[in-house]
Amino acid sequence: MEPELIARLQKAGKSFGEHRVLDQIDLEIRPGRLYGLVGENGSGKTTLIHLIAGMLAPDAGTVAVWGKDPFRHWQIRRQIGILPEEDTYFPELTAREYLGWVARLRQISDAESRDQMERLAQGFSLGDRLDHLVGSLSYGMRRKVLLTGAILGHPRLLLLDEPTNGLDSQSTQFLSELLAAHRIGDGSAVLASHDRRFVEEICTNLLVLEKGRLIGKTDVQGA
Amino acid sequence: MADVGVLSRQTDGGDRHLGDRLRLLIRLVNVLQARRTSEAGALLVGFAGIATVLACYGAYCGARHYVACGLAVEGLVLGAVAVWLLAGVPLQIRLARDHACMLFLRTMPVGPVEIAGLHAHAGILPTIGISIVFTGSLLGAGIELWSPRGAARLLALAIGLIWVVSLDTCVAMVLSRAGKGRAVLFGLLLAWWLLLQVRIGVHLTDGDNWVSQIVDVAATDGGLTILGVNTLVRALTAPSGQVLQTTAAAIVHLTAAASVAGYVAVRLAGRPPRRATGTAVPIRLSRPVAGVMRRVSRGALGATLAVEWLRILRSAGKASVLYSLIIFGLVLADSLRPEGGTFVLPLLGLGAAAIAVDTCTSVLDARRGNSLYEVCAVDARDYWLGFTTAFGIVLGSLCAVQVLALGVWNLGMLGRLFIACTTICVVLADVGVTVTRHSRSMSPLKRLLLSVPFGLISIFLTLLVLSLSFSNVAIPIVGLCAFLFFESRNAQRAVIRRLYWNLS
Repeated sequence: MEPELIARLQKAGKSFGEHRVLDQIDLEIRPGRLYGLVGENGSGKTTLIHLIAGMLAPDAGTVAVWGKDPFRHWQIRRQIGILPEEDTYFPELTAREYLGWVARLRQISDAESRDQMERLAQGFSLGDRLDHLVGSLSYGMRRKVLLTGAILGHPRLLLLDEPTNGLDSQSTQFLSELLAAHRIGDGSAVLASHDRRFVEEICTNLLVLEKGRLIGKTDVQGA
Repeated sequence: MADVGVLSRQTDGGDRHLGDRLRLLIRLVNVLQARRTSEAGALLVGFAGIATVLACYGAYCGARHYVACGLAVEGLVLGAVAVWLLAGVPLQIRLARDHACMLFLRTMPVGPVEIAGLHAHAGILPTIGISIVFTGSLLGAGIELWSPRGAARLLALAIGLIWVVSLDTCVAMVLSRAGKGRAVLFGLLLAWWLLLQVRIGVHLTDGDNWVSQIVDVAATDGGLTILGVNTLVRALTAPSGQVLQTTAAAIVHLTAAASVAGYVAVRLAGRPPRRATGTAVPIRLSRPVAGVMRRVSRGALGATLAVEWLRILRSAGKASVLYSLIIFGLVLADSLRPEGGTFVLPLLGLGAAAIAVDTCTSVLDARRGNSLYEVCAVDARDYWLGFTTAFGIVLGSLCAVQVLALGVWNLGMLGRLFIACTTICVVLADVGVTVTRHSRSMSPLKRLLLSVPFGLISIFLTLLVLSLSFSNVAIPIVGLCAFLFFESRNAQRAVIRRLYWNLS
């Protein structure tokens, strides 16, 4: 693998029972690029994100992130920020506690995590809700907490599944700015979204999935 | 542009040690548990110390009585090991089913060893509790523990604790993660269990000492030998002269079994936990029966009853099936015994009661279905009644089917059994859920005080319904239970609305 490559999928495929969810996926993820993943419901966007994150193992082909199989080398998840489509919050914890646990598990120092948490919370208009139980927050607020958790510590690769779900326009704008800064810092991100306008505005590359096959790869901004 | 200061890249410190990561995860889970189990669990934990001492003393006295009856000590030890092996599994399974927690861990840099360790930790408390009770029963049975030879046995018990935790973790991992392997394991276990029952049935002959006969069959059973159960039983019951040899063999065997189980558990822990495939369980009679229910009881209640019937059959079905298998095996073994069959009904009833109390709260905590009712503006009382009745009917049917499978075609008996089991489930589920929900807002001391009468009432009701429903006074008993049920419903209305319904 070339040194600058973050992830490479070669002929990767995944089935659930009889259902072939992903088939023959060839993809390279490079630093300083934002990849927008679009496709209809059930086209395999979430599964592709899970494969790159190492949350699932491919049953055909290979997936390598920084040259390693992410399913076996789970340690590389320290450098990956994941926002799953499903809720992974604990309703029993406050937003601050939840983010604190994310920081500890990702080995981010307390001082750094506190600083980043405050700034991100301010950007996402979460500031006064950090000490509320996550279970008592609205859907949009919960998504902001999860998004903050994914971005915390500035992982080099962000895998965001439906990042704009539940976000107001101000927070969407803040997310766009964060991702732009992330890109400038040589970070990379894969955003699975139905919000095609957002994806086209922010992403450098557009990936189109249809029935588990990658049918389109477009360099949107020619970057 | 966003403040780039936010994005200062994290420093690449060295990886934490495995122990540190595991300790961190255990702390997280402990924090969650402490906040989640502020009701029934807090009661149990608060009570655990005293209960363990009492149980240990009870086991000691029970074992003395058992030995005084001239029954084989091996039988007692075998039973105790079986309980020991089963004690930690439910909590491990519960953790594996905590979808949000498992998904969260998968998004974090957490490895399979830590996940397996977290599961082992989840089940260790009841396992240690049973170890203490187990030791009490060994002392009661006159097994030498406080001597140099006894120290060897204690060492075997200590290794046994690790062995039990490893096996439990392996079972939890297979049940929650293995795909085809799970089906194969389940099939093998079922085949082994039935074979053991049949062998016991075939070997039992007329005579009083049926425990010895069962022990003889178990001693030659391949499954129990491979797992290490027989080796441990031999080490604990060996005569003085053979203690050291048998204990050494047991330690080697248990270590090997624990290593294999641990290896399998860690391998499986890397996989994501299995979830529903999206295909409905093909229960052919579920739809027609649901249709009949809806027609018999019209309106929102009928619809709720029908929906809950389907929900229970298709979601909590696994627990019910597991319950059926365990109870069915015990009932079969009992009925094969000369002059057996006397434990059939209490076992069925107690099993049904236990699963009703245990499952109802957790099923009701899955709020997806409840939100649906909220959207459809179904009355909370209808929902409650529909849920508990449907649950009672499912378990009552299971009990009746098991008796039918034993070849008992007495319809009157079946009817009474069905009514008894259904009533027990409905009453206990309602009382249990009410107490659990109501106690959420109470202080720990009040919760503790509430749990004692609740436990006593539950046991009393179960035994009362079972004993009386088979002596031709079923109708008054059913009436009494119905009264209690409606009373508990009335008591629940405010509680449901305030504590539960509004939270859905």
